[in-house]
Amino acid sequence: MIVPPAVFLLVAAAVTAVVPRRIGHAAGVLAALGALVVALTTPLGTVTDATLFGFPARPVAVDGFARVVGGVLAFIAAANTVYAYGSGADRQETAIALAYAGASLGAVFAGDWLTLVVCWELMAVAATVLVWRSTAGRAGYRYAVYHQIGGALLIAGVVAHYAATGSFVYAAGIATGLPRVLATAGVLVNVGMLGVHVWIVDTYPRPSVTTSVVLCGFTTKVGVYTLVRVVPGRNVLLAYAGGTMLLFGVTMAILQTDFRRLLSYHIVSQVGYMVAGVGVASGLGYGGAMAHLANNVLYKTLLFMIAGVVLIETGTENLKRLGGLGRAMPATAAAFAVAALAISGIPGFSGFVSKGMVVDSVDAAGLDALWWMLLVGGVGTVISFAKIAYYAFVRADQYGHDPGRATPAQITAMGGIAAVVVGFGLFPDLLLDLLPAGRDAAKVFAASQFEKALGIAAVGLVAFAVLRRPLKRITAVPDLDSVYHPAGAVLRDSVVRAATGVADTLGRSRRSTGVAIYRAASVDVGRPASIGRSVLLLTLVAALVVVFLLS
Amino acid sequence: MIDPALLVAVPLAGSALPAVASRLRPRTGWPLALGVLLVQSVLAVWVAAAALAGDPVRTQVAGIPAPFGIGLLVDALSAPFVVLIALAALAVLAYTRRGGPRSGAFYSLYLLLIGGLTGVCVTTDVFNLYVFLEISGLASYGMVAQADRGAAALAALKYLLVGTVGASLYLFGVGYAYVATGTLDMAALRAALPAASDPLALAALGLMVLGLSVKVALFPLHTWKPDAYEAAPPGVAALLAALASTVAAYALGRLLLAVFPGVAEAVVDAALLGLAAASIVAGSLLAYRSESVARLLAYSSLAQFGIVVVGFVVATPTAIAGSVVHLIGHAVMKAGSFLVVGLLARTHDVRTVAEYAGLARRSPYVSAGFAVLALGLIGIPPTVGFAGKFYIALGAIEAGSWTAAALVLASTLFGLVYLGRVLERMYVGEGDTHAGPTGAASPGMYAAVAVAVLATLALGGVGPLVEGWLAPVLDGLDAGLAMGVVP
Amino acid sequence: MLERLPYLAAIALVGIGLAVLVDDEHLVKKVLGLNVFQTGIFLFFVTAAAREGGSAPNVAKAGPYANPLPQVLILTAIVVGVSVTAVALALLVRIHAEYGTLREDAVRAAIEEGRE
Repeated sequence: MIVPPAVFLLVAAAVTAVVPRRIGHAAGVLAALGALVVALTTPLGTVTDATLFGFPARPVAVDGFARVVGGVLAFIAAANTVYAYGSGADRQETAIALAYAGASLGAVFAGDWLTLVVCWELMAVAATVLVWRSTAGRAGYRYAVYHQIGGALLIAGVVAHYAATGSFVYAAGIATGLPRVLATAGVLVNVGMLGVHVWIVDTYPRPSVTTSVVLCGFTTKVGVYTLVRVVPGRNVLLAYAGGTMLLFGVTMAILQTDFRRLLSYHIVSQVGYMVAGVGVASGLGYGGAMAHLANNVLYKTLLFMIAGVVLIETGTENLKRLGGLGRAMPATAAAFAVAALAISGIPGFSGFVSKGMVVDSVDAAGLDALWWMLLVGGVGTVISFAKIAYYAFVRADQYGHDPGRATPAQITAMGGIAAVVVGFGLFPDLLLDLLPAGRDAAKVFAASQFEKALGIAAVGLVAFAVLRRPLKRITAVPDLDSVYHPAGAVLRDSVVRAATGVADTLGRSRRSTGVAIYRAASVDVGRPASIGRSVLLLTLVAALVVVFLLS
Repeated sequence: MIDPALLVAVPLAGSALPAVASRLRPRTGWPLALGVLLVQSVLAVWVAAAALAGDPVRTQVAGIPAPFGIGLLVDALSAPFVVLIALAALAVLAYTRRGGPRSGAFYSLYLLLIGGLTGVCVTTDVFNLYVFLEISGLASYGMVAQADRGAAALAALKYLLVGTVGASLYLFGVGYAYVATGTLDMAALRAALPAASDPLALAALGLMVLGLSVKVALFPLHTWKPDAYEAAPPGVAALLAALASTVAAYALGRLLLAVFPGVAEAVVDAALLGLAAASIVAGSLLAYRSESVARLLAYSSLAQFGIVVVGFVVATPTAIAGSVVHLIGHAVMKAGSFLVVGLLARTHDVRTVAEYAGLARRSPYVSAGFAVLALGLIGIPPTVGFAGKFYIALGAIEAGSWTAAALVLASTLFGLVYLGRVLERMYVGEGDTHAGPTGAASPGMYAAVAVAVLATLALGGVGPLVEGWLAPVLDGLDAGLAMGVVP
Repeated sequence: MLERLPYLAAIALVGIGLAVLVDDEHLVKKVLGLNVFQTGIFLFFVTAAAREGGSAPNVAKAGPYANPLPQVLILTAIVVGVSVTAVALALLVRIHAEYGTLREDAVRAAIEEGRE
């Protein structure tokens, strides 16, 4: 019997909402670190059984995957809270962020589908509230709609799974057939699978700095983690879908000029690596996917923190309007260097190890085309981060920015994460020893890994040098959201209009039996239905009943 | 052991008191109603506890045995509703002390309504059910008309005419049932019906279900509802939203489960599923189109009762438990929402979705309460709204009815769209954030809202409990024994 | 045919009542329509209880009797119907006092005017 890690953060969330800001943030950090300790020290195989909604459930189950993912999410929740304190987040925002992190940990440590569903929905609600609080326009509404669709599909899959197997407790994934299709579809919404990835790039670049820092680490990663639970076993289609996400995300990222929008496309691309590993489903593939998940949470959060500091200090996140930050903000620039080198897979930084594991697992599985996709994706990653480095940090400032320095709390948060990123890069065993699988198959510091990584980096840098001028001419690149969102609005409005309006129009024409029936059917449009119309409707239904039953 | 007849007799007899007493001394209506309802609540909890702990509590009025006399019965299916009626009446009464209307006649109608609704829940006689339906109907017509505006009188008249036509159709159906079987007792009817000549049984079934569907307000028989709830005083809207359609839906469920199973099941299921689907889709659309928040909530009830009907159609034990949970949960959440609407109309003079813009900043606690209630209505865990829908969906999938399951899941999405619209306005809309309050609300008003919010969260885990209670009753129904008549 | 006549009359009354409810804008006539409609249903019930050659169920006399139960029920239903009519008329008085008319369309127009 252990205290579930999620409870630490949920309690801290409740506390933070009411106590003074400084104490609340301190409590949040302590709670997150407490959750981290519990996650890392609880023996593998620990389970807590309980009853949820009257069904046997397993709210906490610790295995190797849960330990790694839960641990890193707990750590990042602590860092986020420090960063939020240093970036002026109010206590309500931090409270909701802690609840969001708590729900995520609950989902990670869940040992049954019911607990997962509850935590899943709580995550969606908390994230929606976070987005809603700090964005103008309808982004929050759209976020809610996307995740409600995903949640409904997952619930349908889980319920169908129960109907098929009679148990909610995790066993060998969701029952195959329709249940698995439904649940996978629901989870893929959160993963940000190509086609439904638009919510990521729609939501993450918009809200307040601290909100996007909080959001970027949890939802998609918990999605990937859950994917392992839902579809265990080799799935070549899924692996290739991951490769496609990678290429699409990285291509779109190269074309962006908005700092956070670029990073958001990189969430799509990085999740692509993980999905590829999950699809391969060998020990190395799972290990690589989970290690990459952990590393990605660290450096992607770090990158969003840097983007936040840049936005706060310069007032812009348009790369075309930045410059000279390397000198003006040395600590931030150093942190960026660490994060960029890590995400590009340069030796000595964390991404190198886990990316190598995923690539090797693909190789071992004999998926040659996917292997090439991953390498090309790596080149794209180098290009896009070379782009940020050049425009924001390296080239001279032409716009007269006079940025201040990052606050101590911001530097503490970024420095802490950067230290872990470097630590995992230099001493990969720290991370790999936690993994349940893939430890032994990983050829971490083999010569071939260095060749590959350095080759990719060299090609990427040359490519950026060549492409820099042509890229300048590209401005806005449309994504599927420019189809979905107008289409969604048109669909919604036209359904509403068609369902109620046609009859309204007909109702205005001259009276005949047919029109009268149409009129009756157009109940309550614009103005309340009259008594006569109401009784007419009732009579019509009664006539239908009589005809229907007695015929 | 208490006689269940007291559950009906106390409020009906008590209903004379406020009207008479307030003639003698003004302002005595509320305390008298409170006293009667306290007695009623104690009785209800007592009888329900006895019914849930052991065997169903039953009585024969005037000692005439079934199938000739009128039977009253509190079993696990009716007990939750008996308690719900008493407690919801108490909570809304706390609201009306300041929220009004406060005339003696109003409190007489209030008690009459409670007596009638309780009667619908406990009777086992289909004609007696008609009488109680009309008693509660009469009281609610009168209560809707208590609002100051003239529109309320027209809305009440519409409610009266449509409601009475519906009830009369039900009575028509009762007539057919009597002609077919020679009895009006539910259990005896069930035993006799399959043997009865088919067209008569079918006509009885069709007309009775249709009549109750009017009271439940399934699309397109719902037109009285939005007008009545919008025009009624907020306390009345809350009470009716909590109880009127809920009790009618209970009666519908009871008929389907205890009287008519086996009569043209496939056809009836298909027709009811169609009605439910129409209610879910049309209710959501109309809610989305509504400008007035009260109307929006009234239309939302269409969709929610559509879900309840889905549960009764699926009719596995899990789905039935889900329908009961959803009826109770919806009563709590919808009543709470209407109380919030009344509260905000009073304190901030806002009524439409547009006017709700920015309210979260002006009135954070009430807004947060409304947000919880709305999330419950959408069906987000761990609220009671999730529990009910989850059980219905689970039952539907167990029974292999994918259409039903898809309807329930789609309804959460629709709920998000129309309620999300209100929440979005409240939380991110740019409103007149500096306008001060326009009126004061009493502690009782806030307390009633708080009770609803807490109950929405606390009742989330009630599903398995209800399922456990219902199991023996459903077994009994299947054996045809629950009404005390051996076929 | 002759014994079916009361049933046909019942159906006719129901139909007439509904037609008035649907098609007449005058609210008093709507209430009357409701009464006619209900009367049709009452007639149906009472007819169902009748027996050829049956007398009132006075046990002092020799049978056969008409079935007394539906008559008792309809007595109750009539009382309910009278109460409904009373409430409806009270509402009409209020509507007339407020708007000075008893035509539904006119009342609706007045309400909408008041809103704008």
